[in-house]
Amino acid sequence: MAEYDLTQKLIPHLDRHLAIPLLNHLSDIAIFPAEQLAKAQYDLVKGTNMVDYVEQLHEQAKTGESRDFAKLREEATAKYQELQEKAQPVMKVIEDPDAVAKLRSGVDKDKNLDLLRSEYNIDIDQINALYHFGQYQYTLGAYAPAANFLYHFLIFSPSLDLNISAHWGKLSSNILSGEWEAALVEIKDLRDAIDNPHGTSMAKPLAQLQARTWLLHWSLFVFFNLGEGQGCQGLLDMFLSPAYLNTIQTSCPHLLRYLVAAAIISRRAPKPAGTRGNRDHVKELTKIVQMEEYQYSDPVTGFLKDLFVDFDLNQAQKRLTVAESVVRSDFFLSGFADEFVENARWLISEVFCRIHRRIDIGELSKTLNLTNEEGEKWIVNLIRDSRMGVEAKIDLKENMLHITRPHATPTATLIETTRGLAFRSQAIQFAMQSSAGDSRGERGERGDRGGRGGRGGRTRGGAPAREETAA
Amino acid sequence: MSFFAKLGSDSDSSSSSGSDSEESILSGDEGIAQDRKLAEAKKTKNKASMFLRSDAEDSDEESEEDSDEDEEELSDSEDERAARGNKFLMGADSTDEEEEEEDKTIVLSAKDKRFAEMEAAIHNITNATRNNDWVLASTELDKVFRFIQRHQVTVVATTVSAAGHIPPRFLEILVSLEKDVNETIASEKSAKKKMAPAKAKALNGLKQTLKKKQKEFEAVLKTYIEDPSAYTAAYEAANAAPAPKKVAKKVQIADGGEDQDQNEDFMTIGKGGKALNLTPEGVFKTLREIFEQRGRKNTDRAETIKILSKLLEVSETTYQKIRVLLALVPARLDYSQNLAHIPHDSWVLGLNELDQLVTLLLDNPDYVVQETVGEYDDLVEREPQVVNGKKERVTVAGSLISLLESLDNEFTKTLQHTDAHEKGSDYIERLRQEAPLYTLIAKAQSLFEHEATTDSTARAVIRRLEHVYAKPNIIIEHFESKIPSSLQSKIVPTETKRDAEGLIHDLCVYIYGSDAPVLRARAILFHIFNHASHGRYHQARDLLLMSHLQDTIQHADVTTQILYNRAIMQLGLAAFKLGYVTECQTILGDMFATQRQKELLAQSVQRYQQQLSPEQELIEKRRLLPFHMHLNVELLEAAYLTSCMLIEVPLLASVDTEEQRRRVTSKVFKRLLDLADRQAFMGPPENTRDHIIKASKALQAGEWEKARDLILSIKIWSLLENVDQVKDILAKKIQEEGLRTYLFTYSSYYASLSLSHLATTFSLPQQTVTSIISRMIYTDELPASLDQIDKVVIFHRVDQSDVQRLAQQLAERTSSLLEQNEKTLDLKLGSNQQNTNDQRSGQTASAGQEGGNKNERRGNNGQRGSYRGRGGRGRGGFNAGLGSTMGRRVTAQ
Repeated sequence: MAEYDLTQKLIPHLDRHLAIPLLNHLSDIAIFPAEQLAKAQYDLVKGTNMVDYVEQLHEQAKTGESRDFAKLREEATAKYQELQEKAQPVMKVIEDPDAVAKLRSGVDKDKNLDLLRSEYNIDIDQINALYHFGQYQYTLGAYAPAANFLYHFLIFSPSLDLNISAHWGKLSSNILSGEWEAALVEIKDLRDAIDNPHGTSMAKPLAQLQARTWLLHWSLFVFFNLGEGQGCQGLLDMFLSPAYLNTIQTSCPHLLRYLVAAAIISRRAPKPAGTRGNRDHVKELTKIVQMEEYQYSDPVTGFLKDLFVDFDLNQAQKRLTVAESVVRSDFFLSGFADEFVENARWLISEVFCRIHRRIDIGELSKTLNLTNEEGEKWIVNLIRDSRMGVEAKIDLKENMLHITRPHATPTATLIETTRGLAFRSQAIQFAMQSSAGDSRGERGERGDRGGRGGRGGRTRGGAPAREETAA
Repeated sequence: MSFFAKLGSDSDSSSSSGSDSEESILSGDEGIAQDRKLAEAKKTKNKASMFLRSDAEDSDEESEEDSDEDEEELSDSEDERAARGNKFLMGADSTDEEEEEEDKTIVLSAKDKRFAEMEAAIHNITNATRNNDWVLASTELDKVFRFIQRHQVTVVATTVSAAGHIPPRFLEILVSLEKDVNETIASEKSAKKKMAPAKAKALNGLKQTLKKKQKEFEAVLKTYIEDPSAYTAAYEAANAAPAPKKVAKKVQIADGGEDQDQNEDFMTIGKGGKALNLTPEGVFKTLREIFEQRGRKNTDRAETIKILSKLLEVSETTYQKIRVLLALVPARLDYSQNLAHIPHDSWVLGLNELDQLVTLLLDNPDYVVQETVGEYDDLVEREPQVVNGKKERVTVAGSLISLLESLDNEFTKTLQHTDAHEKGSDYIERLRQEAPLYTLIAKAQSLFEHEATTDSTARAVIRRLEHVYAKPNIIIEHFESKIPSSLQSKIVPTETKRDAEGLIHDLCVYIYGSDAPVLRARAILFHIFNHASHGRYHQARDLLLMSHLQDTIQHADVTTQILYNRAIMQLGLAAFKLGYVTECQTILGDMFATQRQKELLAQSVQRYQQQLSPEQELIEKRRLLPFHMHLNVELLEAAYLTSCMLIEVPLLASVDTEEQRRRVTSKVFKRLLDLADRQAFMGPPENTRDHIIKASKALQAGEWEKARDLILSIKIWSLLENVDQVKDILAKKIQEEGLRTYLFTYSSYYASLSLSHLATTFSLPQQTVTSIISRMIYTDELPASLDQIDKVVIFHRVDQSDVQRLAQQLAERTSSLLEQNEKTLDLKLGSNQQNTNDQRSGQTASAGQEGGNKNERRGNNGQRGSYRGRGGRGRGGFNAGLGSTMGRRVTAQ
């Protein structure tokens, strides 16, 4: 499986600390030689201030390179204390509940700064000390306090560049201390900052591209830890937005694996309100995978291509077996391996049923990589779930599945086309009326229009759903 | 009159070049009074500049170079205007020598102009006779006669003695032409093949006129034939007479020249009988004299070049050599004003001299040629001096990059004017000079890098790219091997080995880093072209998409647009070579839809449609690419039409109403197909198009083997590098598309078809057949389903009655009408609301977005907001659904 491992491609876009869990995972699944890994782990950690951890890894790696860890530890502690002292005045203010209440009431950063200066005698340098202290704690491996300090720093600091840096730091700390919800908020903030660079260093296209690449990689930690519903959906939303999709295509096509996996996993997950249908994702992704095939392909993306481009079900099934093991050994996806396989099977059988009229159950079971009996059970479940949208019956005597798909009669198509025409015209009429009212400046009528439009929207929203069941 | 105001204040001599054009407009349009004023203004100006000699000369040179560069961009009419302006200028110039003679000098210069015309005409005649183009020869001869007549009238009025009346060149051409004509007629009689009637007629006419004219000039001709050199000498002497005053003045200006004049060995008599200094000591003086004459109409360019090359021989120091070379190369390039391009051998000499100059500068880092330098006395020899322990470099005024560029442009011009078909060997010989030229550019680039002049470096790099981007790797490597390995360069370090791709990459990357947007766009296009021509389709595509050039290209200049077109064509071909048929069709489609591929690629001048004015035609001709850069349009067309066939034939088979047929994308292909349909009888295919159309017909009839054979027998494929691969891909595609077409066409006649039968008919593996059919079913193209147990495909085709079909069409129209209405309304409302409600930002016209905005604005009014949101989604869904209904519509009937 080593050939499909993405760790080497991911690490350049990650922070040193974020890479540690990746390497640990690799040493767990043991697809690379242990001594090489130990060496890599040591090299990675060497640059941090987590002296104990470094020492431990140093012993494991047996590099022969000797280092005085006691001295290092002393230095680290000294530095820690120095920075702590500097940050002390601000900390005091923050710990004071009165001050916090006062600061909370102020909306404006400038006002808060004035307040701090006049009442507590705190200037910009001291606030920045907060940032440096937070950063140092992060290098020590104390992620939760680091996140805390950076949070406070962000409240006070007016500097745009430092703020972005602090956002990155906080995101990383949140990830490493496992505060996924907070990390998600942080991702949103960073996304805003990257997409609307107001004169910061981010304004250059190249810097923006790099920042986006980082964000894409870092967010993997968050999304895949948020669970299949919210996480995968969030990931799809973010990764498929045009700017980020471009970034993936330009600088990190290997992320397509996670995109495809997320799309497959979340296929049957309950959709949060207001999102588009899931089939779109798979269709869209098929196109992208096909387009980027020349620079990246692996079993996961290959599976999608087999299924939706070549319609080669046997090949898809073979690919699925490989993809399963890839997913199982992947750091981010390993938790979702079962869901992945389950949903991939769903995809296969859906395609199968759409295309075929009579299916040999044995054949289908083979395609799904199941035994005959398991296959039967699977099919029964499939039929029970109305999502298949077909009338299917099992004929046990001949050991086959009979599917009848209602084909659209001309009349039905006609009805389908004309459905809602009258209603939509009516909606237009209302909209026109209300816009006439609008120009007179009557807000009430506009509300009216919104309501009616809303109703129209619902009916229309309902139409595709009905189509789905009918199909 | 702002013009006068400007003129009055314009006493600064350095801006004289700028005001020249204004003056010329003025003098061309307005009366004599203004001319006189102008002359006066000039006079004062020149007087002032007498004291600032070196300054004036500098500016002279600059303006010269400016106009050099301008010349290429100037349209013909502007050229003419400038020439007219010059005439007046010349008059004004001479006033500081002979104020009273103002009128006469104008006449003189006009005479010189006529002489130049005659020279050009005579040149054309000699060229024409060599090419057997008698029509041209006779028209040119008429010109010469007209000139001689006028000349005689004017000359008689002056004091020139009788010996100086008829120029020897004229007599010479009469004699040689007669000889040529007689020879040709003689050879014509013996030749088997007859001459074209127009030519023969011209030849006979020519003979007649020659006879007549010979009688007219009998006496003079006799003396000339007896001793041509004596006659020439007499003529020169007679003509030199009117200008003795001038010469005397010249000699005085060149004060102190007498001493060297004693040295008889090195003394040469110039055209005007003036003494020239061809000694190492006199180099600078002679140079200055030449500079003073430059730009005037009466200077003999050939003579100047001769003097300068002699000067080069005698010059000794590096400084002298640099100065002479800096004058010699532009003199050579100037030579061509009346010709289409400078003679080839002259160009080669210019190339060698520029190479000499660049090498000289590379070897002597203490000398530097710059466009702006401090003042220095140009009559004094200079050497690098040590000041404060640091060596001061000697700077010389001049612009190497513009010399290099005009030399390169001349190269293109010679190639443009050499017919690659009829005079192939000439063309190749000229093309052979590209390698030395390339070496020179590389050297110059290294020099510029060394001097750290970023602008020049970028321009040199672009020139270098222009020479390599369209070449096969082997030629690029040959070029590269010619470059001396001692050359220092940061952009392309000679130490590291690189292939042609790496070279182009390095050069382009340098330009990407520079800050000239035009050059950057060109570099990207070069890169794309190169990637594409070497089959790296994906890289080329990504580069194109990332550059966003396709959005801005219509605002670019014409040459860049041409380059863009070329790059796109190459990209399409690259897609085709890899078997990406759809991509190929989309990429090439735009170009072939215009029907003007050749014009858009600058490979021929517009022929059809509207007539071009001569000026426009000239401009277009100037843009044409030399033959070796041409893309093979026939190959492109073959690729395009084949792609069309593979896409359109199944599509045509899948639709059945005439209206739907009309929607088919490629009009070109459709037209060809319809044309073929109308023909009662189709003969055997002759050209590429015939092959493809016939193959399409065969494919429509389900005869995929015939179609494949026809396509594969197209000869032009052999021009592709990977022919066999392409043919394999094509054969496979034809099989697959044949199957699809067959299914579309004949499915209504079957209830079911066995897969194995289909597999044998189309000799495809059953697995492939299954997956093709599966895809068609899944995408709703084919109303059918598979039966896994019996291994058959079952069709569910439902035929529509006429009424049903019409009703369906009506319904579709209505829904599209409604769609339009909604869009219009959204647009209208969108703009309205923006006016009334400023706090909303980023308003777009799309319905979904509007819904979202509304949602935000209304705050957390939960239920309504969510409805609204759903509304947006619903509509989006509908739009998406429209695509699928269209797809279904295609098959449903």
